Amino acid sequence: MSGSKPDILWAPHHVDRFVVCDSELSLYHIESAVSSELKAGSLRLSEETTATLLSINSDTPYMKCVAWYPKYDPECLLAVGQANGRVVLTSLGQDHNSKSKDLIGKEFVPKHARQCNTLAWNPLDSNWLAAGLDKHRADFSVLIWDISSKYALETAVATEKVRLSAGDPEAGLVVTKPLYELGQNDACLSLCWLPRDQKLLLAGMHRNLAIFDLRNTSQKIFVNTKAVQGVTVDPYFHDRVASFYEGQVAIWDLRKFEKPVLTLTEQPKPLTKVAWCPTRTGLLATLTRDSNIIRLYDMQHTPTPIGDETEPTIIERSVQPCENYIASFAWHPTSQNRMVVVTPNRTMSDFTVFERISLAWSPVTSLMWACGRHLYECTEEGKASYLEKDIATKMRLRALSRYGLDTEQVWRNHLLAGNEDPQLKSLWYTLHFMKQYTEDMDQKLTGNKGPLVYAGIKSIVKSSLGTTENLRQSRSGSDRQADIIQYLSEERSLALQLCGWIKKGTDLDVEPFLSSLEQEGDWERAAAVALFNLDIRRAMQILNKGASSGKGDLNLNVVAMALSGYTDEKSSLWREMCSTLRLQLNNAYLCAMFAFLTSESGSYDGVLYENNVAVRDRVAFACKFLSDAQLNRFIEKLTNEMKEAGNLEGILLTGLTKDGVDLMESYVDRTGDVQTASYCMLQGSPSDVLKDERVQYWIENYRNLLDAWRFWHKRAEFDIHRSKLDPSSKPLAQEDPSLMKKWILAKTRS
Amino acid sequence: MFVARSIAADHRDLIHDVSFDFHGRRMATCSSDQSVKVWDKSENGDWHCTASWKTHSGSVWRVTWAHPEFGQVLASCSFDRTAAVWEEIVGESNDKLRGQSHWVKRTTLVDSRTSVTDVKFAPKHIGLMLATCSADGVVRIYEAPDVMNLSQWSLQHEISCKLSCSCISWNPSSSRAHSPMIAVGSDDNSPNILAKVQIYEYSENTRKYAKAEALMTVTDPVHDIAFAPNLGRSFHILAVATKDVRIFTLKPLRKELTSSGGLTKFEIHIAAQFDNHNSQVWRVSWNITGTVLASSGDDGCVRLWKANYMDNWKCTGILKGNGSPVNGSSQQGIFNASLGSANTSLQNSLNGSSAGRYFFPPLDSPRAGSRWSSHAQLLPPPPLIEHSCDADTANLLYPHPRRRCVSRPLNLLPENEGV
Repeated sequence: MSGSKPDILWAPHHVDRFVVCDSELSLYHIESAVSSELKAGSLRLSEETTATLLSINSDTPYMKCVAWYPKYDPECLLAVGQANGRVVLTSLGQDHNSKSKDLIGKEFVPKHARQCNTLAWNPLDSNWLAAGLDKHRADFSVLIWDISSKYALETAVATEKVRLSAGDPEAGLVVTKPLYELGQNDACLSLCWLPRDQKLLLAGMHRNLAIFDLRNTSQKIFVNTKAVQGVTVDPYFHDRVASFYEGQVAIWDLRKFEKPVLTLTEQPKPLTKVAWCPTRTGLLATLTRDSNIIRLYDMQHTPTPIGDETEPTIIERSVQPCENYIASFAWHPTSQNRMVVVTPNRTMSDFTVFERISLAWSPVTSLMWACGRHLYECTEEGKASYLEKDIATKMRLRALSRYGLDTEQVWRNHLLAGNEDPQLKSLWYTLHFMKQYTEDMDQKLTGNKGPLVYAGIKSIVKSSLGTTENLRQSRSGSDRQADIIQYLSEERSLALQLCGWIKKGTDLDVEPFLSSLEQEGDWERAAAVALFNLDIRRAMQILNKGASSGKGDLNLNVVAMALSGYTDEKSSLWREMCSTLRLQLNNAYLCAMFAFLTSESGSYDGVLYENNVAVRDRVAFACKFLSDAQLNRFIEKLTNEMKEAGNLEGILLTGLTKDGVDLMESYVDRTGDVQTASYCMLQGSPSDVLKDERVQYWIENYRNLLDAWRFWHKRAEFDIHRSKLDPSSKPLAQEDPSLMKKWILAKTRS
Repeated sequence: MFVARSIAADHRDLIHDVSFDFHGRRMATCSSDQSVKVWDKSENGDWHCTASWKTHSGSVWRVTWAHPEFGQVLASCSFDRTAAVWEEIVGESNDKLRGQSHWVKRTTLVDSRTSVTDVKFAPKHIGLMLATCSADGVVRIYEAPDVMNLSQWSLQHEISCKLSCSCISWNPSSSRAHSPMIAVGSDDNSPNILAKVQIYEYSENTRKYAKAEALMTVTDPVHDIAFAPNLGRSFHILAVATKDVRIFTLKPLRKELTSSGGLTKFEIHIAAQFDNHNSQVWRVSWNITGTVLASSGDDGCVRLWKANYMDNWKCTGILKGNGSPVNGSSQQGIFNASLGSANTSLQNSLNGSSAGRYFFPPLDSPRAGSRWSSHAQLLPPPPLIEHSCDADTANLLYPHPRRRCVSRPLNLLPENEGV
């Protein structure tokens, strides 16, 4: 507090008041104020609290130290130690009962003037006030005053008194005879009374720590040390004391006082304050000069009795209550782990040190944590959109909605999954088409493509090598000039079916597909598919329809207009404009349409590598217009891309093969969605993929999740579903027989 | 959006650990008051303490559940240098009537010479095994050869880690491709550059655990460590609580590429590193799918981390330790999933090479550590938490009976499946 640095003290009993002292004493009242509005004259200390200045006392100049009277009444009585060694009792003028009237203004004057370093009220006999002074020759440095003693009217002092405090109306209140005088020929830097006996006083002297026993003042226990500043007793373990020297804190056990039981790591800057937390065991706060950090030492267990050499577990923490340097801090006497800090320019903040929080997730997406002695449970509330939900929540909800279990209308599973994920939609449609085709084959009992279907388009295309016929046609649909080569084969039309462009059977009619797209309002895609089937008129018609539909985009008419200008002429202005302007189109399908119209025959990169066009449309397009060699290369490349990205649209290409498992592996790595992985792999007819260790591992993990969620019925359904599709699966994981035995035992015992 | 409510815990001292059983229907807490409490979830979602007993003669650091297949079994570890295994006894009618259950000590594991800092049951597919670690740097793995007899545990392995151990985590993967594996963290804070996370793997050849990896980049004291539930992934994810939150991925290299010793080699990447807690990070915990990580730190906050589809991890939620929302942020909600938030700001990329860029929602003020740093722009707190929750003033003087502060009725997820 020397100089202008403010210090801060909480009222010991009126827990909503504290004093900031620098050159004067300012009493503040702290109150909770939740609203963001500040009352006039109050200061914001934290989000929840504000402080109001109640009174200022500037009667006592040259303050060196302040101590608050420890009893409840009188309320605002403070002892101030001055630079000349005098101790003055003063008040912040809240209540003036008779007792405080007698005391206020009383002065306790040492024989020789020197700085008063520290003050300590005896916690039990509150009339006793100990003062620690600098050294003056052979004089005593620890004086214990009795504040109730009548003033001593020694003439010499009386005259001096008159001289010193001229103008004081209560000039008679000077005490010069201390109750006890201790620490002869020494200096005293810090003091505290020991709670184990009211007659024991611990003092940080010049080069030692000393315990004075007032019952026998001729003797003292002492230990030589440099750590003599800021002696303070742990309020929870009365034998534990902290003191400091420069950047070092020493922890002492009074039962073995020879040396510190612990020395806390040295700080680069000198310490200014060390204080035990009054509301929590073993928490020591320290502050160094020019720092905005309060360091906390958490001594996490009861000190063991003498003889046990184990060191306490100490956890070091640091907290930063504010941006500025901290001048001082004070723990709140009762509020848990709370303190107020004050900066050199007297801004204050109210701050609570949180305990180490331990936490745990429950399997049902709630988070429990413990902070101090309290438990908090945190649950997810409100409607987050499906996309924002975590996969754990999604899988739980999907399990409840019987996701994956619709084996008839396989495509419907994507609705059960929430109808929000385009990749899942693509996956379940693919699996649906695969199933449909297989059933078709079974009925007709013709062909040998059955097993091939589940192997994906990549395998289908490979098997089609050499069976392809060419068909030349014009883009405009007219037969004026045949400049487009289309490729046809049984396998390619199978691929188109899996892509969903055509229905089963061999007629290559895309009309049903176009109408379904129109129904969904997917105009651009419908137009593109029409165009890729070389029906430019139909494409324009779709676009017109789109433009005129309810919330249609009028620009579609413009697109139709542009389409209508199509010409085969290679060097036409139309072609030039379209190939440059198409890149500015926002819609990938529109972009792809013009790419197709302006491309050279056989090189369709603008369509094939337009990543925003669905994989199934690009693959279908490739199956129509790429030669066998080109097609193979393209499919190979796309498959690898899909595998790399774990994109479920790629299952169309890989089918349920090892490639498909690879793809699914990167999907699971990316999302953790073992549910989709398990159900997808269980869709195929009995096949090798189920023997893959990875697939078995996903299934195991999914069953484990269902177990953890206690979805016993869902797990049973899943197992039934699984045994249907994978007859090789073991009859359900019976638990270890010994455990069954245990279970039975437990049952019978109860 | 996540909402917190407080539960009267009734521990007389600091709670050090919270642990859920396999189903999340039971919970155990342990404390410096030397006791363990068991909590059961009622049908309406409330937690009731059904057992509370003194377990040790020192602070109890950790408590953990065995898989329910082994019965209702808990393990605890303490400053008193021991770990203990507890089993619930069914059929004690007197206790049952009072809604209390009875737990008996099945064994005390006394091998450690120093404080036992962590205890964890092995994943169930390995068997009924228990790992402990202690301040003297030894990891011990015990096995109950007969699952029917929980009082018999044999010390199978003793791994000397050379550094004071603070935490352990089993790799939960049950894939046959992955050998049993355990990660150990050290809180040794002497100024050295030794790796504070070591990973030990069981080798079938030698029938011993041997060091497979050491995370050389982690040199600061480690307070907690957690493998994510594997959930069928081809790699492992490990979260480390040190001076910051770190997330590592460990991809096993294919066996034929590994050296002859039989130990798996890993390709280790640091997937994320966040210093938003501004100081020491104390705990990390994964959700059931290993997709959301919760961390707690010295700033007194709980934060949630989640990866987007591009594998960029970011903070998706933050809540103060007393359950109240963090103010001064533009977001009304707390723990508000803010994927793809329009006004994300780019913050320092800590490990640009492997982890890519980190996007933070605006609620992460760069001064998150100083809680009152921005008085000027305070918003009224969202009306989620009753303010009595943190009004713990005078708690010591006037201990009040159990009190719970529920801010709002909770929408429980439907979980009335089965019995």
